[in-house]
Amino acid sequence: MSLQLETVGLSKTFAHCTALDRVSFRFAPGRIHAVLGENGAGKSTLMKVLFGLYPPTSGEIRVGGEKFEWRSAREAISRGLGMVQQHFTLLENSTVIDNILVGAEVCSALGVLRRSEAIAQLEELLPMRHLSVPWDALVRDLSIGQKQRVEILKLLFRQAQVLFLDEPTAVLTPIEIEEFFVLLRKLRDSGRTIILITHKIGEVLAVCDTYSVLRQGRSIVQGEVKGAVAAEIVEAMIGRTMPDFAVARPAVHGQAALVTRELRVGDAHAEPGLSLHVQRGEIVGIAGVEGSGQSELVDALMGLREFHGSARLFDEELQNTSQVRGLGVALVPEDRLAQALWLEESCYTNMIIGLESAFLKHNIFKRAAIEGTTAAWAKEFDVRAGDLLAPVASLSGGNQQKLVFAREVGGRAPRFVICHQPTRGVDLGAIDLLHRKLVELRNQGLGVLLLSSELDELLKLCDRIYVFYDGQVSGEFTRAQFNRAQIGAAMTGVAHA
Amino acid sequence: MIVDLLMSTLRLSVPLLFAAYGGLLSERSGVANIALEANLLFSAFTAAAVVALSGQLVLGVAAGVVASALVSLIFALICIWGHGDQIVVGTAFNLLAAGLIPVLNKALFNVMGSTPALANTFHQTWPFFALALCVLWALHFLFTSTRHGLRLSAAGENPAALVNQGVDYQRVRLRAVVEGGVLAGVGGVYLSLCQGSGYVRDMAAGRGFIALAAVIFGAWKPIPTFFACLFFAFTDAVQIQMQGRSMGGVELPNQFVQILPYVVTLLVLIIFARQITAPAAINDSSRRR
Repeated sequence: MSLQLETVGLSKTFAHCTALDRVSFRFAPGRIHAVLGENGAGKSTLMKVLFGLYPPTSGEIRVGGEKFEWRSAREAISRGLGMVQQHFTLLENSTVIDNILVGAEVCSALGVLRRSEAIAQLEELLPMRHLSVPWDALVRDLSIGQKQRVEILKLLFRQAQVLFLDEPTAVLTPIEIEEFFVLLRKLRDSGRTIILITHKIGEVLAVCDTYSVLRQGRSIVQGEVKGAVAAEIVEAMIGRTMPDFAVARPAVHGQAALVTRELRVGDAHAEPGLSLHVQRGEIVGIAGVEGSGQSELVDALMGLREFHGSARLFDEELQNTSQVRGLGVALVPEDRLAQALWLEESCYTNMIIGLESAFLKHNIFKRAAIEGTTAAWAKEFDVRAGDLLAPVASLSGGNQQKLVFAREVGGRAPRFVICHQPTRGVDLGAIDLLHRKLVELRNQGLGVLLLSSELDELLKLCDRIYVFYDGQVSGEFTRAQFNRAQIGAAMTGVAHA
Repeated sequence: MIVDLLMSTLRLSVPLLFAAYGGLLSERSGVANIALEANLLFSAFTAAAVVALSGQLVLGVAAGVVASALVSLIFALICIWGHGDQIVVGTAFNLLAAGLIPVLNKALFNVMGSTPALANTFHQTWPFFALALCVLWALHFLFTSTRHGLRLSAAGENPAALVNQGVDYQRVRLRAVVEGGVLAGVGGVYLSLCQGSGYVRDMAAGRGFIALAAVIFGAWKPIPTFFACLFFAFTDAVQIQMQGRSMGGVELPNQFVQILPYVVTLLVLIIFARQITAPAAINDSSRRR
């Protein structure tokens, strides 16, 4: 059974905006389709409408040529659709088998689970070695790649023929991504329709058969990947050409900015600890699988956690957060929603968090000054908020991140910048701006520490890269030594020669 | 004396156990339930009032359990579909129990404090304790081996896992809370028809909260929760035995002895609560939408 999925003039309007505007796409079976678009282009809405979580305002969905209207995810599932969301919806404290079963339980008339029967069904279903996961393991003990496999197994167990995968590689290491692509091709060859929601052009070219571009809720183009040019796809996505830029090299002033010696935080870093240095005028990258000790390093540098060893910035030993901030450190943290923003508050309030004292007169806020200054920052960093009084939660991820940047870089006039995953969940336009700003800061002689799980980002911007594995430095590469394979190997703990 | 202490522990554990079971079901499904006190009070009162008026014990038991289930139903509707903050709504229910029951009592029996003393009550504790053991086994089975248990835990850990499967997690929660209300109702019935003979004002005396502490101490799992309840009941039994006794010639004021179970509960929570993780999605309904 293979299903062709088609949308015809599909629209979805919310109270104040049109999220999808007459979208017409066709997804043939036995192929891998990419649905591309910037943040806010309507990719997620399209998925949710196709999956029955939102009813469409107009237009139709056709499955195997037959018009279908779902009223619930349950119906979509029973028609052979399945979805893996970007944020996994797993029960961390339950076993793999329970996670696969929940909602589609194999059980007796009285509701008693028959797990062994379910396992037998699963094993019959899976000739693919790639998918094996220990059934009785707790999900919280699995690697991210394994968790993703559990999500895919959930779909296969429900006989899904059409698989939607939302940004599936965002959390994977380069090696896991390769394995994942192998799996996708196998699923495709078994006749299933794979729909990959992504914004990474590289992936589209590597694994997809067709691409479909959404922009501002409209279907812009659908075409074959074979013979397509990356630049054209990007242009379709953002509606203009985006000149690529390369960092014009020399900067690196040679004076030390940050020097750590044998720094260790709790159990996160093994002996002997991290000995790193960042010079002025240098962007130093930290590559590595998430959870290799990056977050702990940032916390230690920011004075948020105790550490062993030493960390000196501009020849001063780092002690606590206010001292670190006083030395002129800007931080763009890993999780902007939890660590950088006060979501319900206005944009302009968010732009002065930590800088309040500059806007006080007799302990009362100087409104006009705040509004004027923040408006200027918003302009400089291209923060597109219709109204700076609107809650920051109403901005897109890219604009939120630009706002954090505006505050940390524009507001603080820093001497050292720590950026942790600065472009996660951020659209291409914003990524471009953030990258240019980072390079600008470097050229002005600031030290920049850039922690990212996007290797491409590091390779493009950094003057030097440290690779973390399991809380230790497993490799150091100067620009001349940059090599994707070797860095990738170091990320999995294989030391480079 | 040891035998007395143990028998007393068993007797005192029954209301804690049933209230804790009720709390366990509700909390595992993602609904923080501090209204257990209200469940106990309403069911204890209703059971005693019905027995006082009808003379029928069985009718009283049924009425007490139904009253508690109704309390839970309303609580669940407000929290789940009304997106009320579960702690605030729970507090309101406890206040409601403290205020409404005396009013009803006055209307029915023309006194505020208590129902008339009942001639007809249960004399034996063991059937209730045996039932508590059966329910323990049933809960353990529910969580380890049934569809309802799996969905209930999912609703408490990550409702999105159910939403994506087209399962209405709010209904799963509603069912769990009401089932919990039924169980807690048995605890209330026991208070007025077995441990006491009739309803006395505030007779739950914080047992709903201690039961909740037992659920936390028991890491939201049936068997550890059972033992946590026994432990708290034991401190209560010790407290009763110590009353009026002198320690090395000094007689402790009763008030100091009586606070023992509460102090122990506090200490246990202070010491252990840090290491115990609650169901991840607990009290999330007010944040959703």
